[in-house]
Amino acid sequence: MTDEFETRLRAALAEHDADAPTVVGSTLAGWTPSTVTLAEAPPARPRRRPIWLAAAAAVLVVLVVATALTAMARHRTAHRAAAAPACPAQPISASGQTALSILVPAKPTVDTDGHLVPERVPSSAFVCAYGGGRTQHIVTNLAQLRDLLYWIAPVRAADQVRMCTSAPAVQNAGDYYLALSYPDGVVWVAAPGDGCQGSSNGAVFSRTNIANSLGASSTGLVTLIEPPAGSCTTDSARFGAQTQLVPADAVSVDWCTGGYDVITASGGAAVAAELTRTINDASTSPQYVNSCGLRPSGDQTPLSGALLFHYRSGPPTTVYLNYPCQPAVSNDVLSGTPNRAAIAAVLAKLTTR
Amino acid sequence: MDPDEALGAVLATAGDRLLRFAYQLCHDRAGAEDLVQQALERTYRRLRSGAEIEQLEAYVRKAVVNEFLSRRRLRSATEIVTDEVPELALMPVDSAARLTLWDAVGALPERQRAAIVARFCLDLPDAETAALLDCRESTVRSLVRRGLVALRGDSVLTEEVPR
Repeated sequence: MTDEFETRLRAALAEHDADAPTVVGSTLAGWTPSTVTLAEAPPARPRRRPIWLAAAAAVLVVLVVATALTAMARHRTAHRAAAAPACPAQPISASGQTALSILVPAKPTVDTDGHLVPERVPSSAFVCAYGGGRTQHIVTNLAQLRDLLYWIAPVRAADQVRMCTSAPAVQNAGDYYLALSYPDGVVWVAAPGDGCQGSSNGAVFSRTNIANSLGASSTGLVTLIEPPAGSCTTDSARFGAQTQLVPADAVSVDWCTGGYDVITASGGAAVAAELTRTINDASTSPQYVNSCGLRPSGDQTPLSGALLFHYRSGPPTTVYLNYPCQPAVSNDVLSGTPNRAAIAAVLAKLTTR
Repeated sequence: MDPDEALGAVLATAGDRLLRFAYQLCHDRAGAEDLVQQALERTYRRLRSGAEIEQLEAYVRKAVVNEFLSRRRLRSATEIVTDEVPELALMPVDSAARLTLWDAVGALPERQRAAIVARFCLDLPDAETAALLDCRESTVRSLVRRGLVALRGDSVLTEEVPR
């Protein structure tokens, strides 16, 4: 749905098209592809390693192994107190081990019960930010951080965390680590800056790009950016969306059409429950469909929009409808094609705003 | 197709369109020319390496966006902070009022701005914008939503003279 503001915005942008340069009269007028210089890497020069270098390397290996064995022996007998985490000097490259570009410094040392982080509020937390260097930011709104991370829906397989292919220039820009400390351990969360990637604590993986939700202030504290109200879209699927298109126990629902930013109808707990049953009736596959796929024969009438389900506690979650595409329904983690007519019948029970 | 011929054809048929798009992204005429030129050069190298590119204009447009995003990031690392305000040219009141929405778009974070330009200038569907920005469709919706909220919330814009 286009409102007056969007019309004004469209006009304001179009007005400046006339100010843009044109090929004629710009530096591109004389540009031809053959003027491009193709830089080629020089061939590698074979080098001979001196014998003394091999001997020194062997001695070094012996020393390192001996030191490591001694340290491991001490570690086994030492008290298992949670060490204070510190930001690594730079993000740890996954080197293709996972679909994420960076690895967490360590796996969780507390039970997260299938979530990215435990339900309890951490005793402290900080963010390691790597956009052009390394900076460490303290998080003060710990409960909000817990809310953000605890409710994120995981994916079933680690290879589902990358949703698109990044351009080389976009990779590894502004990577983050979050370190959440508890009295009995630490949970690290890797949040790649690349918008194509999700996040992970080393054991649980999600498709939610947390970097979008972090903003560092000049005071050294991290601000968690809240999604604006009044829209049907959310930044993350709610925990539970990994097993059902609509997580159970919604208390109300909003319906947005068009750009999903304008709520056009709403319903209470009864309609939300009926929609939940109808949508969850479909078999699902663990994939997110980014574009309109197969359109089988049958009812080709479009039915598209976003349903925002609200819950007694925790964040709302969005379910996208896009009939007659197939799969037609997605919650950003799962997709399926429930009965269109049944959904349309329940949608008719919503109260128009 | 021969890379020289292919890119020459793109420049002839879509050059102005690409420049308008680049200008909407960077709000700077010289910058727009640089963006398109860099994008053409990258595309040329790709073609010369033997790559098959079906939608050449779309590929160059994507290269423009990549160049815009990477350039802004590089520039931010080298920007010099100053407390001296540069001199501004005087402009008529009406023109200033009209420029506010355009200026506000220029002040948006780069990815939000690119998503806004893709939707409101190019009229691209979310799926195509997702491909353009190398992100998920839901991320596009989120970027547009955040951008619109920021633009609507700008106090200067609420005083904009209706046209």
